[in-house]
This record gives sequence, C-alpha cells and structure tokens, in this order.
Amino acid sequence: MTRPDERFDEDLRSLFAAASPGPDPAFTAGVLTALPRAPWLRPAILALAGLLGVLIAGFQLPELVLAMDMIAGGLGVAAIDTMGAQALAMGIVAVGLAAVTLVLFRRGNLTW
Amino acid sequence: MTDTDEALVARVTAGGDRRAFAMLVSRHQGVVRGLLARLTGGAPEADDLAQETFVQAWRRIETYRGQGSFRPWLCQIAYSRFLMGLRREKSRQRLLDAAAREPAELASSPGQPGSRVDLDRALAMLGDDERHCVVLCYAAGLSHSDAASITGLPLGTVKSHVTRGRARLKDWFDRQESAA
Repeated sequence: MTRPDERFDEDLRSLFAAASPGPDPAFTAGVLTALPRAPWLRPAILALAGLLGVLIAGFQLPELVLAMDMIAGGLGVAAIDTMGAQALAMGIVAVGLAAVTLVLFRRGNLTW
Repeated sequence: MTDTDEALVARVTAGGDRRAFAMLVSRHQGVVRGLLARLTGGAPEADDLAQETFVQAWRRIETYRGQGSFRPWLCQIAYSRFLMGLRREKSRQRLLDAAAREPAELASSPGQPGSRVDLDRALAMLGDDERHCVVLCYAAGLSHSDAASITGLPLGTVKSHVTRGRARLKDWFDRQESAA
C-alpha cells in the first residue's frame, strides 16, 4: 500500500526535521572560539606586555644593581668594572626577555 | 522581543558583536548542521564543516546585503564548504562505498522507518545532484529558486531533480514499509 503524495511530503519534511540536531550551546561556543580575533588585538597585547615589562624592570633596576654588586665576584666584578653595573643589569634583562620570547615562539604561544 | 536576522547581522557588521553572532549561530545551527549531515551521509566531519561555515560567514558577513533571508546565504556557504570538503577529503568515495554497501546492510538490518540512518540510506540511493537538490529543499527548507542559485543549476533542472528524487524516496520508503 502506498501513501498519498501530500502525506509523503509532510512525512519527508518531518523526517528531515527530526534528523536535524537541535541548538547545542557547546557547538555555539566552539564556533565563537574558532572565530578570528581582531587583527590589531595581538600586536596591542604584545606591545602592552612589553611596556609593562620595561616599567617593572625600570622600577627594579636600582635594587637589581645592588643585588648584583653583592652577588658578583671574580669575573662579575671585572665585568661590572668594564661595562658599568647598570649596563650589565640591562643586558641580563634583555637576554632574559629574548630567551622567554624565543621559548614562547617555539612553543607556538606567540605567532606573527 | 527577539531581534531579526538582519538586525543581528547589522550589529555584527557595525562592531563585530560576537554576542549577536552567537545568536545567529544558535538560531541557524540546526539547519546548517542538518543540511551538512544529510549531504555528507551522516559523516562525523559534518559538524566540522558546519563550524567552518559559520567562521566563513563571520569573515564574509559584509557581503550579506540583506537581499532575501539570511538562511539561503548561509546555506550557500555551507554548500560550498561541503563541495570543498568533498574534494579535500574524498568524501565522495566514502559516500559511494556506503551506497554500495547499502543493499547488504539492508538485508541484515531492516532499519526503523523514519530513523536518521534510514533517511541517510534512502538519500544514498539518489544521484549526487538529486540528493543535493532534495536536501537543500527539504532539510534546509529552501525554495527551488534558492536551491538553483546555490547549486548553479537551472531552475527547471532543480525542479525535476527534486520531483524525481522525491518520487524515488517515496518508492524506497513504501518498499521498506511493505517489507516490514
């Protein structure tokens, strides 16, 4: 026995509707996470982080120099005598920041 | 009062309003996910394609001019993602394999009429264009002219694909009912 055309049309629409998934908040959240960020956001965050780092290093510099004076001995004293304590401290901070940046790039936390 | 699609799109276009876009995703995900699930024959990557569809819609939201409703525009993106996915992952071959296995599976398990698996089996019997047109018109509820502009087929061809596909589905379901 076959069913009438109109009833089959309704049945078919109901079948498709029943097979379609309902709203899923997890899917919506997944889409929002996958959306690209504004192109200026990453450089802005990096610039702010850099400025913050410079600010903190600036505040800490006198203490850092004093600590290095106390810790340094042997070659440390020679290096301070040659370069000056402040230049040496800035150099160490710069090398540290470069190392952290390099590690973050390699881990994929930072990208262009 | 709920915002219309056009109002939500305007908010997204004006200021990249993610909350407005989330409302659009919630509202249309059923159609997009259902459409892609039926086009891919219920393949697990359908939801990945649906996610790509919405990300692409976010990127191209300025190209939506508000002519016609938002749903056909979204379905157009979903359909092109599906075609790209088909090429990329050779889903066509998997779909054909599934269709080739279909008679044996039918013999071993009659299937419950009206189930999702049943629907996918029935759709696998149709030719590609027939299946695409039927799914666009029935799963996404699009008009024949919307389906024609999405698939790039002439309107008359879409109409005949839908009519023929529907008749073949009816025949298939009638045979299933008789066998049960």
